[in-house]
Amino acid sequence: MSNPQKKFNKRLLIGIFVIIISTIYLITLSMDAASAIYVTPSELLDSNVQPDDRIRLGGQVREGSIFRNRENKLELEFIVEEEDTQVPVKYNGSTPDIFGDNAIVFVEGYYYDDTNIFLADTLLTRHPDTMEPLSQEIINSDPNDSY
Amino acid sequence: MRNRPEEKPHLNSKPISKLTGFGVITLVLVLISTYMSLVSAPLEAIQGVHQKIFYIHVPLAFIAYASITVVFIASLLFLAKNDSKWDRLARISAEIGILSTTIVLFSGSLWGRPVWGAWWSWSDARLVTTLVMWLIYMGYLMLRSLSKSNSQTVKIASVIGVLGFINVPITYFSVYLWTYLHPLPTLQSSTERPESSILVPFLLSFLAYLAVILVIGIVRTNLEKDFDQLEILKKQVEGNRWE
Amino acid sequence: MPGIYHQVLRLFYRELLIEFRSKEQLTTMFIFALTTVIIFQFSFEMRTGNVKILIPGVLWISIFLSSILSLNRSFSRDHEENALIGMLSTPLDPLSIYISKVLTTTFLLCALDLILLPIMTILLNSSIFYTNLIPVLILGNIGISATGAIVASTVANTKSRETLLPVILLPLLLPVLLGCVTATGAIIDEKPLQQYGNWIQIVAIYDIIFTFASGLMFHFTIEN
Repeated sequence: MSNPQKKFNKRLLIGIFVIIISTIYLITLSMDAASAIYVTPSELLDSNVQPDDRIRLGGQVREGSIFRNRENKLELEFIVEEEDTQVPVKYNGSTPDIFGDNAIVFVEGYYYDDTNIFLADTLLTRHPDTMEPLSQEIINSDPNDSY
Repeated sequence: MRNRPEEKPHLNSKPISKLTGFGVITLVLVLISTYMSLVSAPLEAIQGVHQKIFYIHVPLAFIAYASITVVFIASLLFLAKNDSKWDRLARISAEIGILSTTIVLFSGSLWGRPVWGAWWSWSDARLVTTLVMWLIYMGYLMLRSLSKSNSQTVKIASVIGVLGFINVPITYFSVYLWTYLHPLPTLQSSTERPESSILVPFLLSFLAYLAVILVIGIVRTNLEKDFDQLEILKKQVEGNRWE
Repeated sequence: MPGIYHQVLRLFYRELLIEFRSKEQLTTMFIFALTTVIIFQFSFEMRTGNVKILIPGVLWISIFLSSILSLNRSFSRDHEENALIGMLSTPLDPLSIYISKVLTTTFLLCALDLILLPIMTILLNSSIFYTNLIPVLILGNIGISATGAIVASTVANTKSRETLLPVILLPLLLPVLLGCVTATGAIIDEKPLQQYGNWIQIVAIYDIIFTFASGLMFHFTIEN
């Protein structure tokens, strides 16, 4: 029988090699797979979705498209767009503070082909990758009061 | 019967020491960075006042992940070298990691509610991984505090310290299959660095929290050393009694 | 001293012999898993008409929780009867102890699955026999055993081993749970392989990484 320390070192080398190879494989695997997290408006219109398929739609809110119900401020309609494809969305619930024109949103719900309306029950926003200080002119006119 | 000369125990955690100076500097740093990030830094264009939490959340997230890495490396070194100083480092880093991870989880969900519209998202790999990491290292600390501190239990805790770290990337990438909510870290995707009016208070808070963590770490290390001394003294007393 | 394969086989035979004589682990695991299924049935059935939604979760939670019983028993038995000290006083390779423990636990969990699946089919009134489920079950069981064996051996040294094992083991097993539940769900819904193939691969990678990492460190947990 060989020296136990030598044996352990040999095992250590093999073990570390296998662990590193597996980790690299895991990373490449996840990179390949992480594309179908949400659908874009054009993908939604191209695909043949059933009314009972729960969908997560991601895109930008079209400027000036937000329309809130006057009696019930929680009910609103807006258009999610991606370049020139647009999907009208109806949503009932509270909105995050940064929701507004041009915000990046993810809505979850069901799409109805016949009426071309996406009924959403969850609305999440994503903050942009960059942070910019607010310019002085905008501070004077509070954006929250505009609607 | 006492025929042995009184050994004066060497105390590491003296009430006043060189550490006091460092503590004062840290306090000043924390005050300045808090003032700069809360008052003098401009409001962010889209997130407004909610972005202020960024100045505490992101530095502590860095610290949390860094301390867990230290636990991993120190545990490995302890297993290899069997020197108790590495074990002490692993334990203290784990405590610091738990402290900062707790703050990161809470501040993150306070930030998430107004900005994303959700306190928590199960489909975000970073959130879930951080929570799982918190759970694993809580288990690690429980293992250490619930077991007698002899060399055996110390050694087995290091095994968990290593396994827990290996688990982090696997958890991350398995949850990543759903990821969508977090943008890339602002400072890492260096295509567009934030303006200096945001960057400077951020770096200053980073420095301040790092200093706070270091102070806690040093105080904790001295305390642990004293505990070890106490154990040695106790053994001496036991020895005297049986002589 | 015989080679490591021989040692593993002898130890595996020893574990099986103990289990065959006492029937302790498999019986407790099965009764416990059955109880879990019944508890889940009562907690969720009123809220959902579609029981098929529950199957992956109920199946894997039963397996996970039962594995804790088995692991605790397997290691505390060796400590109580001083069997471990006996084994360590021979020139046995600690790695072979680890591998034999992983093999035994995997074997027992697979046996549990064999009993659990027909019972769940009867109790939940929906068939869950799919050939594609076999690799998922085996890989999941290996993952649970590979991590479970080292964590159980770790906490077996402490006074509060029964409480610490689930607290430390379950978070470490999260990728296995995630992968197995998602893959099982996709198989039961009869989705194509490419929709869950990634999850099977993730569980397989987890198995490889944790078996190797634990195999390298196992001797630290039993040496005195």
